[in-house]
Amino acid sequence: MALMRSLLSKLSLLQISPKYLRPNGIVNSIFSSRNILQVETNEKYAIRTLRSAAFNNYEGVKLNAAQQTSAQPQQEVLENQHDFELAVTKETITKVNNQIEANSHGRLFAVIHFAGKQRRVTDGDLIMVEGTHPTNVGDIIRAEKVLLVGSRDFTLLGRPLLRPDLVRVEATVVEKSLTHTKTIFRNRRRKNYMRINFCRNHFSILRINCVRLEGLVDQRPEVEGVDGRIF
Amino acid sequence: MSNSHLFLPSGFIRTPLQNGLGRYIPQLQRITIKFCKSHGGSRGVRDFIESDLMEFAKTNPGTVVYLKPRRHRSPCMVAEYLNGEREYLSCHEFSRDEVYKWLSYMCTRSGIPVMRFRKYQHTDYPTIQGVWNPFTHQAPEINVAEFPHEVLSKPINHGPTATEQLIEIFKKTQLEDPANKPPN
Repeated sequence: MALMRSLLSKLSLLQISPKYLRPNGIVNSIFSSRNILQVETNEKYAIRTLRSAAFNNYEGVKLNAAQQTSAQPQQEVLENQHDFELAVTKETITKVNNQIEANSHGRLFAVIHFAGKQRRVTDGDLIMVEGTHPTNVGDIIRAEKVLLVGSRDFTLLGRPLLRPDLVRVEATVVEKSLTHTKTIFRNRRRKNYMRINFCRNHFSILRINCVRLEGLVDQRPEVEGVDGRIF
Repeated sequence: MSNSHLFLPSGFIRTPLQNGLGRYIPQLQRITIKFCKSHGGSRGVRDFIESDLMEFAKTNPGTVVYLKPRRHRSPCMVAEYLNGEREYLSCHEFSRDEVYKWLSYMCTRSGIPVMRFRKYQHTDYPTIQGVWNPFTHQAPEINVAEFPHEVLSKPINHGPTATEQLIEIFKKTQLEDPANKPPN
């Protein structure tokens, strides 16, 4: 609590106008942090604590702040944050693109939708596809439904799918076989009904050959969705 | 599961010698088809040999095909794989299509014995972004906080409940109404 009081006094010293303080005392996060960039580390720590505390909705902060701002009208002025958010987005995309261009993102993983299931794959994985599948052994196929690509530092999420010229996931069919013999036993009690069947289902095993980023984020071609089509 | 599955081996999916990492290598090394030239039980096998076997041998250059006629015994096929495994299949009274189907089955297998799979995927890299734990994406101030902490040690406050708000409104009305003022 003492920390919060010192913080609030510091805020007044810094002459942050009350419009950055909401009536309940939560500091409007982005603009307050902008104004306080110059202050020393101690105050930065205090601001961060207040922000995290405010986000976590702590009662103590609320009470203390309510005393400070009780004279203010119960209104808040929200600045237009669009430009700032846009700048942050562009910076993030630039960082991701730099990693893609320098090929410094390291190992990638992808979430692909394949044969009715979503699977998380990375280079060298083995996945099993249940049921019959039209491919033959040795075929190299490309997974076109890529929902997500992730690396150590970033994650690209499709809405719902990622562009096909952005990411490439390839797999080789290495085995097509039958499962072990499964026993299917059906019984209806007290109805003199009993059936026993045996079945072996088809399955294929796929080796993931590559999960690769081939394009840059947010650089879309003029015409989309026509690759692989013949007009 | 039944009693016949009690001693069924189980394991994880794998391929011999990292097959498919560079290119795919067919795992069937040689196949021996044994049949009788006269008995009816070998008729489908004989039909298959007459019509389809040459094409099979051409499309699978990595596989050696042996034919072994023998008198008055039921037909069978024996597949031998690159990993040393050997699989036997009786083809008694198989039709031509059945022989073709089972030959394809032998051809596309990897030679690893049939087992129950415990997992349907295998990866050598279980995590790339790190395993989630309760402190992932939390504010780093928690690391240097000293407990008991003035804020962090308190339970999470979710605000007054509806009941508490009602009680508060009720008390307010009680205070505003002078008739209900307590006597002291």
